[in-house]
Amino acid sequence: MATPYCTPIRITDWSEPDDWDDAPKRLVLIDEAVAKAFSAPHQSTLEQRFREQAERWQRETAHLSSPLQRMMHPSYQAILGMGAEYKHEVVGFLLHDMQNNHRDWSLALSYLTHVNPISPKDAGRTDRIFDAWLNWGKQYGAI
Amino acid sequence: MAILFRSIAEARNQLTQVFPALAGVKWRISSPCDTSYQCIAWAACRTDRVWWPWDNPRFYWPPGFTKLPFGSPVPVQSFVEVFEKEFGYRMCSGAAFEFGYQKVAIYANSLGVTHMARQHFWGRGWLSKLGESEDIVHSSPMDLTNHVAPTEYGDVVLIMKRSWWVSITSFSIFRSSWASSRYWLYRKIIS
Repeated sequence: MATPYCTPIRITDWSEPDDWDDAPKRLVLIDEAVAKAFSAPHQSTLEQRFREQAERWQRETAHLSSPLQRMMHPSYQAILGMGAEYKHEVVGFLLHDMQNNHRDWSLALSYLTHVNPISPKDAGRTDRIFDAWLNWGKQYGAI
Repeated sequence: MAILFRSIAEARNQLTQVFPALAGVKWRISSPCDTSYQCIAWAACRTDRVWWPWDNPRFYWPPGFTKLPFGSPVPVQSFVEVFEKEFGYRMCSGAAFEFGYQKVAIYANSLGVTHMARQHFWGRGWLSKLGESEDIVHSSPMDLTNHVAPTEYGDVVLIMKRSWWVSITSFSIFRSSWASSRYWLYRKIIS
């Protein structure tokens, strides 16, 4: 007689578990775990991608004065593309980066948000432009 | 205002990679990195705003002069107009120092104007603010040209000059001297 592949099933294995009533609760927990598993890596990947592109853009365009040249850089375009898909997240990244690393994202922010918080009398004044965007970000809830 | 003080060695190394022509000539760094102004403002002896002729509040452009649509390439003529009427420059033929005159150089590539450099008042080189990076003093406008990479400064397309008298009476020489002296301590400490 051939050796069985596994232990034969006993009749008691088919009995209803004691915590059967908790099943819907378990399903909710599973749903949450799945959602977390999908969203957490996505968020960190998006932020990581943003950081990589932002650092590359800074490194390769810091010596350029023409805003057209700076905006045409592939990393800047990549960030705008990310922003078109994940606007809320990318606007938050831009504002945090502006606050922490003083990178000039004002043009990207106005492109993505269609907002202009800069007073005409502050035209060209980097410190006041950064303040205007950071204040807007606080009101918007992005920082 | 974001000012970044990095070591002279680090800055020289990075800038020489970006501008290979600097490797073979004499040049020096004269300020820290500063996002408050860029080359156009520095050519106009200003350090408080970022100048660019786009119709966008991120940039300053003198009142009364034509602003271009945001994102458009900027022709040399936009800068010629301002530097002629606002600062008293007029077009000239060569970059060599002429006693009694101060000059500016305009750089452009296929995307339009990319950079401006201003001649030292006494002819001791050319002053360039390299984007957000440091101010440098280099011996010739040609030191920053780059014909290989289309995303760089391109070529010197125009030289303009004005008399010392205009420079003095418009107080611009005093403004730029003040800006340079602010970094005297920086240079003494870091270099």
